[in-house]
Amino acid sequence: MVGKRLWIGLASSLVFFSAANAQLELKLDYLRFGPITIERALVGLSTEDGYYLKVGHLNLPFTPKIEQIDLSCPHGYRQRSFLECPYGQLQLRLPRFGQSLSAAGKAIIGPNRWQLSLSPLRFAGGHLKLWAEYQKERWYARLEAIKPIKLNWIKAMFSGVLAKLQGNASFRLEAQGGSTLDKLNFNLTGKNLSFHDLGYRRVADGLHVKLQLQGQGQTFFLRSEIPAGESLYFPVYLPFRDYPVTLKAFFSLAPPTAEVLLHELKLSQLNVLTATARGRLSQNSLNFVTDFQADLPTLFRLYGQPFLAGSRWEGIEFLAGKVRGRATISDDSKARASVHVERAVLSDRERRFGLNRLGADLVWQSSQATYSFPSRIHWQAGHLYAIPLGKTELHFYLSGDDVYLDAPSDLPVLDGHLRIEQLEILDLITAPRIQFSGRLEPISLDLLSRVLGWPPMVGTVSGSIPQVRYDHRWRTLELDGRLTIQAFAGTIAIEHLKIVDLFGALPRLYADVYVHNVDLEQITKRFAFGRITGKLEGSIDGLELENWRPVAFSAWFGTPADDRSRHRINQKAVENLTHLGGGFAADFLSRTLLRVFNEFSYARLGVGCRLKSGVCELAGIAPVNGGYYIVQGGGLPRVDVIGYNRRISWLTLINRLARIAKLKPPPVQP
Amino acid sequence: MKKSLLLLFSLLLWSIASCVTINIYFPAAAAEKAADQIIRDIQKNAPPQSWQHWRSTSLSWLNVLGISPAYAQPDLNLDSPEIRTLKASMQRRFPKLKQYLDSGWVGYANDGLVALRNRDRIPLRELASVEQLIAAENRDRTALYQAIARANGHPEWATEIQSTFARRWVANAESGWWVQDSSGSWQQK
Repeated sequence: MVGKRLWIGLASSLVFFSAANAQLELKLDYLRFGPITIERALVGLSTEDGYYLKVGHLNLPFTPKIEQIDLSCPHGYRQRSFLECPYGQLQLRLPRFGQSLSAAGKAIIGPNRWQLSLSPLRFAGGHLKLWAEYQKERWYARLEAIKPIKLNWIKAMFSGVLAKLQGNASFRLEAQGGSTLDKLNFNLTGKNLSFHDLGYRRVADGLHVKLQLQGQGQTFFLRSEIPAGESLYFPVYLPFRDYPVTLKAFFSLAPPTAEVLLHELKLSQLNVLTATARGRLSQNSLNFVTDFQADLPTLFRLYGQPFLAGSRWEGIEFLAGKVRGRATISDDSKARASVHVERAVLSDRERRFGLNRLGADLVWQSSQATYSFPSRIHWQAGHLYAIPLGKTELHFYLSGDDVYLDAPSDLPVLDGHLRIEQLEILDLITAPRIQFSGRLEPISLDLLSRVLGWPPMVGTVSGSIPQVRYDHRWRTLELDGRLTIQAFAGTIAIEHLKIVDLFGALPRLYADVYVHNVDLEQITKRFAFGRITGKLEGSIDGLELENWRPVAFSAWFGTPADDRSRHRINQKAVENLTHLGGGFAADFLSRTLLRVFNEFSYARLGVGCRLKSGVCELAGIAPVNGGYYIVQGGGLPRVDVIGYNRRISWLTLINRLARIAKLKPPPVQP
Repeated sequence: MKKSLLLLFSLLLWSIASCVTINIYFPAAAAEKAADQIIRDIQKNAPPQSWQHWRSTSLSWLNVLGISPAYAQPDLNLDSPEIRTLKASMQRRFPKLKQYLDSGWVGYANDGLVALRNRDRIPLRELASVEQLIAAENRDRTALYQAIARANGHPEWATEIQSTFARRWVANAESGWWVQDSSGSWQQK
C-alpha cells in the first residue's frame, strides 16, 4: 500500500535525496488520490533539524480547501517506533472563510498510541486549546475556547442566504469513545449574535444563546436557552429579554433504523407558553404527541397579530384567557389537535365586535379522518358593532379547513334572538365561504334604535332567513329571503340584501325596502314634525348605501289607494312639508287660512325621490300647474301642498329635514 | 375596363385612408387635478379610526343619511365604488403612514408608490409592521391607478396615471418627508 502511494507520488513529482546531515526532502508538484489533491507539497525529515511539512494547496473530502499549510517540528525526533514533536508549530489558511489558523503544541505518534496538544490555537480572533489522545483502541478529545472566537467567518457558509453575521462564541467540547462515541459533553455560549438574510426576513440582533449537549452512548440530553436579544422571523418579532426561551430535549438515536426517539422535549417561553412533546422520528414516519398551555393574550399578540398587520383585522386582540391542548401526528400522517380555551376576552380596537368570557373546546383533525369529534364554543356576552349579543353556545365539527354546525343554536340579540338552523364554513383559513340559514325572532325596535343611536322607534324586527352566503373572495354577504320589521303599526320588509366589504374600509349595502300600511300618526309624533294621521305605503328600490350612507335609490311613499283611515294634517306639518320642498304659502289668503285652522283634511299625500349622484329628483302624487301635489286636499278645511322643485341636492334636503325634525327624547322604560 | 377597376381600387384605397381617426390623448392636466384632489383628501381628511362616527351623539341620526362627500368632480371621473373604497382604505391607513413618513423610515418613491428608507435605523420591533404597511399601501395605490383608468374607460392609461400620481405625491409631500427624484436619489423636502 505504501509502495503504491509512493508510486503515485513519484509519477507526478520530483524527489530529492541529500546525504548531508542525513536529510530527506520530498517535493510534490501535484498529487491526486481519489477526492484528495495536494499541490506544491514539501516534506522534510532530518536527523538534526526535525520534521517539516509545507503544502501549497490541499483538498480533502467534506472539508473546505486548505492553503499554505506550514507544519514544522524543529526538535522532532524518532524514538523506537514513536515519532515525537516536543515543540511544533502549525499554520494554515482557509481561503473560503478568509481565516488563518496558527497553533503551537506537541505531539507523540506511535503505532497504537498518539497524543496531540495544541495550545494556544489561534483562530477567528479566539484562543483555543486542543488535547487529544488515542491509546488501547480508545480515544479522548477536548477542545475549548479560552478566548471567544468571532463568528463572522461562518457567513461564507451561507453566502446565498446571509447578508450579515456578527457575534462571538466560547465553547468546550469533550468527547471520548472507542469504535463508537461513548461520551460527549458540549457547552456553547454565543453572545451578541446579529444576523440578517438578504431580504431582511430573518433578522436577529444581540442574541445570547446557551447550548449544552450531553451524550452517553446513543442517548443525549440537550438544553438550549435564549435569554436575551431580539429576532424577527417575518412577520413574527420576538424580544427574548421579555420572553426568554428554553428548550430541553432528551432523545436517543437508533443507528440501524436511523430513528430518533424523542423521550421528552420541553419548550417554554416565559409568560407565553410551555409545551412538552414525545415521539419517534424516522426518515419515513413521524409519530408525535405534544401538550401545550399558553397565556392567550400574549400568545396571540406575539404569534397571531403580526399576520394580521396591515389588514382590516389588525385590531383584533385577546385581553384575557388561557389556552391548553394536545396535538398528535400518527404513523399514517393523520393529524389531530384538541384545544381548550377558557375565560377569554376577544376584542377589536375598532369596536366592531367583541366576546366576553369566551370558552371553547375544539377538536380538529386533518380531513383524511373518517370520524369527526364534536367541538363547541361559548361566550357569556358579546357585541356586534353596538348590538349586544347574549350568552351563546354553539356545537359544531371541525374537519380540515371546514366547520359544520352540529345542532341548531340560539344567539340572543337584545330581547330577541337569532336562531341558527344551519351553518357551514368552508376553507376557513384560506378564503372562507359561509352558508347560513335561520330566522330572527322578534327584536324590539325600541331597544335596537337606542343602541344604534337611531330615532326611537316602536315595533319589532323579525324575519326568516332561508339562506345567507358570504364569500371572502368577493367579500360579499348576500341574504335570500326577507327581514320583516313590524313598526308603527305596519310592516317594513327588506329584501335582496347584499353587503360588500362588510368589515372593510368602505362597506357597501344594497337592498330593496317595502313599507306597508304604517301609521303616519305614530311616525310623526315621534319627531317634532307636526301631526299627520293616515296610512303610508311605499318602497325604496335599489337602495345603495356606501359606508352606511345612501348614494342611490328610487323611493316612493304615499297614501295607500284603499286607505280608509282618517286623513288629517296639522298646521305645523303643513308648514314643515312646505319648507322641506323649499316653498312657502305665497298669497295672503293661504297664509291667513293656515293661521286660522289648526288641522286640515287631505285626500292623499305622497312623495318620491330618485337619488343619483347626490341629487334627488322629486315627484308627487299628481301634476298640477307646472308642479306636483305632495298633499292633495279633500274635505274641509282643505289644504294642498304643491311642490315645484324637481331636483334638489340630497345634502340640502337632509339639512332641512335635520332642522325640522328635532328628536323627542326616547321614552323611559319603567 | 382595366381603367375603371383601377379607379375603383383607388377610390377604395382613398376611402380607407380617409377614415376619420380620433386620437384620445391622455388628459394630463385633468389627471394632475384629479391626483391632487385624491392626495389631499387622503392626506388631510383621514376619517376617524372607528366605525362609531355614525352613532356618535354629537351627530344627529340624520347624519346617517348624509351623502358621501365625493361628488365635486374634476375633469377625470373619480366616481366609482372601487375608487372610493381604495381611497377610504388609504385614508384609514394614512395616520400611521404619516408617522413613518415623519420619522423618515418611509418615503414617496418616484414610481407613485411608497418605499422603505433607512432600514437599519428602524427598530427591529417596528420593521415588520412598517413593511406590511408599505405592502398594503402599495397594493391600494396600484389598484387605485388602475381603477381610475378603468373608470374613465381607458385601462391603458394606468401607467400614465401612476406617473402623474408619482409627481403629485412628491409635490404634495409635507416638509421634512423624504421623496425620490427621477434619478432615484432621495431628498428631504
